[in-house]
Amino acid sequence: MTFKKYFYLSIIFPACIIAIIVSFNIYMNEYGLFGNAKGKSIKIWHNERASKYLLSCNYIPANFEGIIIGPSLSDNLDTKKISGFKIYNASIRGGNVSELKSIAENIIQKGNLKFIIICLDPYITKNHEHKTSSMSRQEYWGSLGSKQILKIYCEKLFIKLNARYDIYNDYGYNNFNLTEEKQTDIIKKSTKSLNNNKEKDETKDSSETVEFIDEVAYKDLSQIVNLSRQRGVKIFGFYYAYYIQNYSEAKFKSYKNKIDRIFTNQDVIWNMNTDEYYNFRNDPSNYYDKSHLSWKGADFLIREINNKLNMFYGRRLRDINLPRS
Amino acid sequence: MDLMLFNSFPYIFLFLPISVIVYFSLNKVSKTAGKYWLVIVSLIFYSFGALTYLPLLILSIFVNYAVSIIILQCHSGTHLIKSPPKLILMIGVVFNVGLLAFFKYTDFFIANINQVTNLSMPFLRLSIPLAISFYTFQQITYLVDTYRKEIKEIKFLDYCIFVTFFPRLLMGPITRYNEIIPQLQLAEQKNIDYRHMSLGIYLFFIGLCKRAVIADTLGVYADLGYASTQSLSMAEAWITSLSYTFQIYFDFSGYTDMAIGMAYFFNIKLPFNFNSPYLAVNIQDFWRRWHMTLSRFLRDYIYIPLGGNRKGEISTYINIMITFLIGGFWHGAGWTFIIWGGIHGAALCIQRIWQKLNIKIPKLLAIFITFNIINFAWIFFKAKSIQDALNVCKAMIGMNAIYGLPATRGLDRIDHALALLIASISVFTIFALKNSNTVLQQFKPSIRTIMAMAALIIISLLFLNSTIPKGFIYNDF
Repeated sequence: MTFKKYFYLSIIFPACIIAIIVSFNIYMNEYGLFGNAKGKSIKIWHNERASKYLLSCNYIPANFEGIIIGPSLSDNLDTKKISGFKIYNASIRGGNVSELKSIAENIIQKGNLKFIIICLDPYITKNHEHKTSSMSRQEYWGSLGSKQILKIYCEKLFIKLNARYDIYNDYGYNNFNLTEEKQTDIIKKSTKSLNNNKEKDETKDSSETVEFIDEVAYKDLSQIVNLSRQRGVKIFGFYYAYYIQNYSEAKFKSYKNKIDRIFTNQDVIWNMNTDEYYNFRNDPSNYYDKSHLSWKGADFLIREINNKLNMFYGRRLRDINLPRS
Repeated sequence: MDLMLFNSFPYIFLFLPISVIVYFSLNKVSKTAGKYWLVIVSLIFYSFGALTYLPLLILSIFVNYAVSIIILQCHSGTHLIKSPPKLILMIGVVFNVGLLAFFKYTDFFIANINQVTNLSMPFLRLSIPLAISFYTFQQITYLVDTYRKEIKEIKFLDYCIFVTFFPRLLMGPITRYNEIIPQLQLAEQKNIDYRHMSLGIYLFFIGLCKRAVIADTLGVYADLGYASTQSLSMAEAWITSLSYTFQIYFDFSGYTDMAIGMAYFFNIKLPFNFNSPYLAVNIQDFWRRWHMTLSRFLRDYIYIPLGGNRKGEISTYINIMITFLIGGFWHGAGWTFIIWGGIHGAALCIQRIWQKLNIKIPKLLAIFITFNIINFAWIFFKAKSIQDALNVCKAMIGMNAIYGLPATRGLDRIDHALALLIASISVFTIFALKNSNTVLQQFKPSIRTIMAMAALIIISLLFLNSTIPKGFIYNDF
């Protein structure tokens, strides 16, 4: 073989294989990036951060009228159970507001979103660094062929072979409770652990009265809210319901006072740390550890969100239909 | 503008092909036009990462060229000022070293003076001009070679290519004028040589694979370990140090393979820089195999001028230590780099004493001992502080917990499995496979090599497309 022939073959042959790989990945379209994603049902298989980021480019804006953003506290809410509204749970386990902003901005700008629901908890505003490099434009190209997409296929295979828990659905629900322990065990364990930690937590809480809020994260949260307003997206928000024995009123108030400044009377914000929710917050079976909701607790919160949405949209509908006197 | 990395898609699929195609197109018109293009494209390449420091590079080129012309004229007795060439050479060397020292070491000296004298002199906080360590050494070799009458004729355009040639501008290999420029004068230089193209592309992707697949994967574990040295267990510390030892080899030798491969595209052969260094049977052998062009520089332009081994045993040891301390300090303005150089210098002195005792040790044991010394020295090279390095050393000898897996935020089981596979491949590559130089020498175009080539391209592009490209380790030096 001549060097000239070798040279051209050594370029053409790999180029053909690359073309096949790229075509295959476009055909598989694991993130709904290519073509019209309307009506598709795409679930997450692996790497929630990168997946939700990429799904926010096309799939979520094309299929959902509302989103929930928040940390792990809201990540295990199965929004498929909400009736009358199609809501994607764009929360990220361990995510901060700066990461959530990357997702929310994509969806708000590209879609026709009616509302956004924000889970307000200090975790999302305590820092602003992206915890991964995979929430970037680079990842878009990565979906044409990369380690990440290979890992998706591997995970998919493991799940199909029942070698892994299938914890996500096509509404962004992260059923991480499944990977922890069985619900009944969790309740027992968490009740015990909550009681054990009660004294310690009270000591800790009494010494700290101000919740730290990162300035950049605070600005990012404000930007999400402002962008939503500009685009006519209704803003809902709820201050997460803390287990009563793990709750510091002073810290929570300091946090709420500052966060409240971002919102206006037009926004629907409700606080779940009031007497109204006392029974819920006092019941350890609603939590599988000190803070995360159990399936039972998550179902309650889903119903609560559903009620708020129904109340708002129902009332507005009545307002519009009322005959002038 | 961001630095144009060899391991980035815009570089591989735009910058490099355009550079090569335009070069040979212009060569058809005139060889000088092709040379001008090489200089222009190299300066554009440099500007992507360091536009601010482009004037400094150009100034450095003009000053060194002027100095070399004066040296040549002094040799021939045609210069108006009748000064000894050695004095002119010294002025040139002082200019280069001064430039390097000012930008790279001023803050280091200020920090140490402040500490010793309790003063609080303000830091200059200068960013280090891109590639200054390399083009400084490159130009010192040029001045010395001119002084030694090894260079008879210099054209400014050729000189510009010698300094700025983009495949080796940032991180070497550190070449001599006579290694590069005579190749540009050859008649066959003008046309595309498919043999060179084939060798070049093969070597380029071997290098990219080394970097993107192996170095980047192991680098994650090294970075994680060195970020939390206080809490490392014995197992973690060994994983951390070995990860870096393999990472730096695959990173730097990968870069060098890419640089040599790219130079082949332009029908220029650069000297090899690595020759299976971790198979070295002693430290002297290691330095004959690791960063060979730097070793050559240190030997020919520092160690031998200091007197080498010609002035007695004690003097030889002192010269070795001075050479290696300078070598360490050249890598970075920090005590950790000086200690790294010191460890190598000391190991070389001990080796000389050992050789005098005439005690033979089996080859495998010799490789094992040498590898561990090198691994130990890299700890100081990588660590941010001496304390960090000592923490890793302590953990490695079991002064912390024995077992514990690395803190691997963001990594999952598939990542660990892949890393384990890649680590095994890297060990196999280092200790059992032929190195790039041998592969290149034995290269024959065949279906088998096309398959190998396709595998290299696909795997490296797959990995490259999985991360945001980072600079090479030696970019920082």
